[in-house]
Amino acid sequence: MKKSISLLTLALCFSIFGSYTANAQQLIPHRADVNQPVIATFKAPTVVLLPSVKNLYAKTLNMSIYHTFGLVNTGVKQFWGLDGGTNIRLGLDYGITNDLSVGLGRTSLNKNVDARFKYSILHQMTENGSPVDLAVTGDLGVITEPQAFQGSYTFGDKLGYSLMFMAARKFSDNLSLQVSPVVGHFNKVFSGEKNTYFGVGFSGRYKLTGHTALAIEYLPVFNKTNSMTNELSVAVNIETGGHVFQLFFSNSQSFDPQDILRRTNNQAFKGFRFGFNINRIFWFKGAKRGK
Amino acid sequence: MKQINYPGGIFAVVALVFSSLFTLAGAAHAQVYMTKHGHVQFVSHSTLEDFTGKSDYLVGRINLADSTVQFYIDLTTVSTGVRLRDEHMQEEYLQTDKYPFAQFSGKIVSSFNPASADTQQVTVKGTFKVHNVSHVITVSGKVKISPQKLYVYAAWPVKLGDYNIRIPQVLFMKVSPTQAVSISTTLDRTKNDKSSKP
Repeated sequence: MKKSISLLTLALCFSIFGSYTANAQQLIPHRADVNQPVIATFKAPTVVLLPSVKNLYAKTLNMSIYHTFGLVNTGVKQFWGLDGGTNIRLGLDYGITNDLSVGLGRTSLNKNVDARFKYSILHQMTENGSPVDLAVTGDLGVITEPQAFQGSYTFGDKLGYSLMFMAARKFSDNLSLQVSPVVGHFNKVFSGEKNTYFGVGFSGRYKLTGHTALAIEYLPVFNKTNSMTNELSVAVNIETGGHVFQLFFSNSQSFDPQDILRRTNNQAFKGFRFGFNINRIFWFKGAKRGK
Repeated sequence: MKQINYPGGIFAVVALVFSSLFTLAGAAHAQVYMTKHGHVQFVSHSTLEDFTGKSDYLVGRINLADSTVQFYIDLTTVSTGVRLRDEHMQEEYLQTDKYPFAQFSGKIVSSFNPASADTQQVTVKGTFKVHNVSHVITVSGKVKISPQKLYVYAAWPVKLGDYNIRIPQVLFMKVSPTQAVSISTTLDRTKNDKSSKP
């Protein structure tokens, strides 16, 4: 009798369980198993002043304004640097493919006109593939200020260029880090200066809210002369629609990597300036999604 | 020869047989159809430009036995054809890092004939959730049922403001305040109801 009762219980359990499984299936959402490039490691083509792995998509145009003021430590007389000592670079960059962009710019300091490119070698993938973004950028600048060179100098003497490799990883939705070895070369320099400088840039971005991020970069130069210092910049990035505004403090007055390497000569935390970048990205009809 | 007298036992066996039959019948009625690669799209109409966002990663489950209808989509798989726009859409407006899914869970509230092979008009009522905001919506769609396949088409308007999704106002980026969302997919009959977990 005991046996039969337990069988009965078992039978009841079966029937209840049977009807339960037929009704109570819920779909629990899972992230799609799609291997695609990680987006928005950095939102602007520069972290602060140094280039970032962020490239322009095909058929998009970035109009950029980089601006630094005078030294903050000039005090109230110079209104903390806002009165003078400004340097401004106006630039246009265009995405030829999703991985290659080229650009032109003009900087007021030394009336430097520069051409640059950025090529994305590898993209960090969401599932499997590269764990990092790899990119390379080059910049070629020519000083067109007549006063900068007194005497007989050739066009080649006025050239300066840089090549920078960038490896970056977006570690989380908020944190992205980049390491960027860079070499800068100047064809003609003053006595006591070197023609070639080597450095490694360390950059990071931390997203504070949906539209704001903190960005920091530090560029130690390995073979700097006594008058040179390592660039240190800290920015608050305001990232909206097609705009990225970067408000920063930096001890560099320059914008091109070769000039940041060579011309940064203020002590970090002492001789720093306020500055801002504005990036405005447009896209043209037919800008297609790539891979 | 021993006397066999197990009336309780016989009863239990009968109950077991009955309940098993009932369970089997339940399983046979549990006409569950699944897909992981359904098509979903939205169309944004505006005076300046129209664009369409698409994904083929719609996951769905429809049980004709209890009329339940469930769908979800990983919004990071939606592409509008312009990568910069996709990036803005995900980062700025849908905030996919926080709210990666759009989900629907509801029931077929109109009558339908599961035995008919004709295209049938059905009405589904349930909760649609996107950008962490849920609303009960009623959607009319079409189904075509066969023993192994279930074809579904449904379209409904999604007013971005209802789901607390900002509408881009910047120059050269015109987005309609109401998006025409549609799904069209063929779901496959599952062999085993328990396999329906994705």
